[in-house]
Amino acid sequence: MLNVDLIIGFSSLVIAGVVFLVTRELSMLGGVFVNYLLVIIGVLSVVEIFTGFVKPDRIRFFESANERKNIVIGLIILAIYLILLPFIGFLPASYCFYFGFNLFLGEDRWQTRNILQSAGLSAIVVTVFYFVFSQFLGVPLPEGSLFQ
Amino acid sequence: MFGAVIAGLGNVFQIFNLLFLFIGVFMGIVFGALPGLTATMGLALLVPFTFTMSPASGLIMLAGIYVGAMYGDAIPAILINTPGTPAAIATTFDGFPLSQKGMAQHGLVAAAFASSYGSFIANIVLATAAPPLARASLAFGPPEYFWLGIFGLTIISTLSSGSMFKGFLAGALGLLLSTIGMAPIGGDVRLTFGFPELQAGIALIVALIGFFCLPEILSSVIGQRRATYAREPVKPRMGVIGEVIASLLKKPGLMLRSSAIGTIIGFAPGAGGNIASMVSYNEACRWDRHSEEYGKGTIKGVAASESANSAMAPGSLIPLLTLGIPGSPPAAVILGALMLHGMKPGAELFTAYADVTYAFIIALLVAAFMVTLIGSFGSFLFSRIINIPSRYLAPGILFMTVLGSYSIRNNVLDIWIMFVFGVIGYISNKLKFHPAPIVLGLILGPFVEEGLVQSFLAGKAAGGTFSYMVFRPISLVLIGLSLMSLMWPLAIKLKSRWRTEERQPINEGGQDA
Amino acid sequence: MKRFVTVMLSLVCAATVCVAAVCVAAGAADYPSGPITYQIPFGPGGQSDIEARRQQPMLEKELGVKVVIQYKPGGGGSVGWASLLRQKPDGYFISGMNVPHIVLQPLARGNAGYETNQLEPIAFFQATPIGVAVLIDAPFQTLSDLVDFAKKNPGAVLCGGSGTWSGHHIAFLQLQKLAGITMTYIPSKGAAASVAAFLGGHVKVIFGNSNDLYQHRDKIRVLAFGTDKPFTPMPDVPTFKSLGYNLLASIDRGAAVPPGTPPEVIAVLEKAFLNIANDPDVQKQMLDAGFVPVAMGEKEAKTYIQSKVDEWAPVVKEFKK
Repeated sequence: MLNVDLIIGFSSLVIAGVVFLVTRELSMLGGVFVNYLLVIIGVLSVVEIFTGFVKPDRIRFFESANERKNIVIGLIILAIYLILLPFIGFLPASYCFYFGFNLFLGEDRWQTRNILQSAGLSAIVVTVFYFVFSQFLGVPLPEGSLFQ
Repeated sequence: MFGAVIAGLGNVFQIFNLLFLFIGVFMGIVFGALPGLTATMGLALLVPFTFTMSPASGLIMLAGIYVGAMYGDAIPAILINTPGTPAAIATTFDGFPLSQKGMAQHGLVAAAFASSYGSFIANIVLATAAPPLARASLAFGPPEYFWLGIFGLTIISTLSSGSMFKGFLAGALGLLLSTIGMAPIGGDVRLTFGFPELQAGIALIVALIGFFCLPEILSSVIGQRRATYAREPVKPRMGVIGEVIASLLKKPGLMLRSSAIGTIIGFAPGAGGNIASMVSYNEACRWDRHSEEYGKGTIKGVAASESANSAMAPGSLIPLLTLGIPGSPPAAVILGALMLHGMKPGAELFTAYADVTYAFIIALLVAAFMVTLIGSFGSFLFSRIINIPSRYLAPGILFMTVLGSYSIRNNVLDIWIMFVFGVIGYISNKLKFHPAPIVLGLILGPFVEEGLVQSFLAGKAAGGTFSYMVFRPISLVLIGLSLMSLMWPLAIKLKSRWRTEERQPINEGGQDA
Repeated sequence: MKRFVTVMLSLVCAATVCVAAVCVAAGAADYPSGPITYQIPFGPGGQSDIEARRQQPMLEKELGVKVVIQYKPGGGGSVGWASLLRQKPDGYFISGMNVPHIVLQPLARGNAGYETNQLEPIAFFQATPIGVAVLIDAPFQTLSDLVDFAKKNPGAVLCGGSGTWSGHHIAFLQLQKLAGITMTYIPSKGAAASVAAFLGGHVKVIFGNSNDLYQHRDKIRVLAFGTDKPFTPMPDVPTFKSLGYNLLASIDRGAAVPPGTPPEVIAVLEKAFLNIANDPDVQKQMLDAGFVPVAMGEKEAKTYIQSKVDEWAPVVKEFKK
């Protein structure tokens, strides 16, 4: 069981502390607002920490081990997508992502039929959006440093 | 003027121009709906196309885009809890719960009708009272922007009905986030941690996608492996359109108040519709006898938010058309288009070019009607989107948000920021720390800071910062509103507690006797 | 039947991926043989955008290829210029360039993401002189009235302008020094905001761009312009020089390419930009809107930028402490 107020209070205090250290060389005009904010955050964090001791709110973060596993894997897939993006280019990375994520979310992942269905859908959806964005709307998309 | 109005009407109701208007509205809806694309981008992309047309036709099309985008941003807000543009944040508060209950079509129709209503009212104001209002808009100086920002922040007290301290802490953190990048005054570069791209600060839309869209996907689709996005599937019916419009028409107070708020905030140059919809939502909740319905999925909440953010668009055109000062980024693009056609803003627009100008304004009005049409009939199609099983929908949404985040500033760092905010938003929701106040702080930070520091500088020269910032008519009104907004939830809590205490002695007395 | 569908689906995938990959690959031959990206380091609707849109169809005609306008706003232009450095120097990516921004930002900020001499100029095509103005009902008829008032009331005169360490700010600092007065500078975010603050009376004096001052000329009185010779659309306004202040202030717009771009490629681009800049129609449009048309080729541009660096480096150093 996690004490919500203590977590929020301490995290905010840490953030305020880091920002304080990093902003000591700002000019008067650039720093005045930041300083006011740091004071406000400091005060409110202390109030939160106080609430954490006096009348805490407790929660269970993940409702089951399954949930935790799902979230972790989901985030990893997403992170891999973002890491690959600048290397192999937008189009290939997106195909892989849609394919992988679609399989992850479905049942009976390793059935050939589902694998091929994923691949096909990914090709169509990603390609259509890519063309709409890059050709029709003229938005440039990352090419992929490996290929340049 | 009357002759010009007739000429304007004649211009608009030609077949080709109506077609351009329709295309414009449609494109505007698409641009507003895809998170990552904005009305500004849509306008900027279509301005070159309009060169080949006559000024009137070109402006008519641009009018369509602007109005369409003001509705389009409600679509993802309602369906996937992602505001298409920052102006639709308040639409998610009731829009998403509606679609969770299987009433996505209700939400979409309400948004369309409310957008048209707000657009319509604001356009009437624009057409009739533009010059005096423009002068009023100039009266917004640094202290006014500061107090307007503070007023916006006091909304947090209503949004976070749970713990006000947590809400304001979130707001303060959001304000701190807004300081990343270049200081508005002094030019210091702050908190960029070595990333030159961060000199521009955090892109608002990236923060929106990160804090609103991703946590929802993470918690329900990934975490709980929910097969569909909404808890109930949506079954669109023809009758819904009539029901929703009728029920909204029965609430003129709500609709008119929201439209008025949008128009007024719209013409403070720069303040923009980002906060108009939230202020309107807040006020709608405050003055409604059944305020507990808000936040759980009621079309009243959607209507309050959407009518205000659509009313903002014509409002921002008032200082543009009369003084040539754009009140919002899309207005700046329209200014560019006007200049390229050789039409300089100012008195000339209403005299020498009056027929084109009134064609533009009337096009805005007609576009408002088209939005209701397209939105209502489109609701059949759009609302079915969330019936698609999430294992197909979610990867598609994630892929599109990555695309959208990148295309804002052509920056891979933005995609990572979106990811980080998504994780923080997820954790935050679990800790019962709703991310909306953080985003509010991020939006309002620049206004509050710029207003504060500019007032310091001016106040020093005028002999007293406090008196400079407080003793002005508009500032006093805003300060009063802020205090009221802050105290109101406290007052209600105290009042209800006092009432229940009062009843108890009577009961006991009755029993004794 | 199931097998057939599976095979067809796989073929469709493969085909789609191949088609997409081919479309994405770029061709290479004589320059220019493919679309050119014209980056604007500001948001849409601004002056740089308007100029670029005016040039776009003419550039397409001159160069014979499509020109795609792209926005990369942020940091007053610095994000766009920092990203320009990372593009391939093959002439298919060019960017708008603004002086004094590219001179002042690296000097004032320490790390702007780029250095002034890293941007390879193509040409300058527009100048926007900066002028000092007051509202038409203000008690100052000439610049010396303003200077006298400021001498008697140090710090009391509120001046507006766009940005810190920008052309407006530097002009303000230089005027203060040359006239021996102290005023208060209140920057706004962008020219439009500074004009709104000025027209609303929140600042008494504005350091503004010639096109904005020209647009509102019926409501304001311009006290001086920072040009060598009087500003053509408003010839009655004196120049700072004629009033005894050696102050030249303007915002110049041009285009640049990443460092290392081959000189033949730059020459092609320079010719195209100069042809547009020398077009009498374009020049008339600019003057009508309150801009000064300019046609400076690559070599001239380089010398001009260097002269500005020499002029402003000591000013920034002095005022930064």
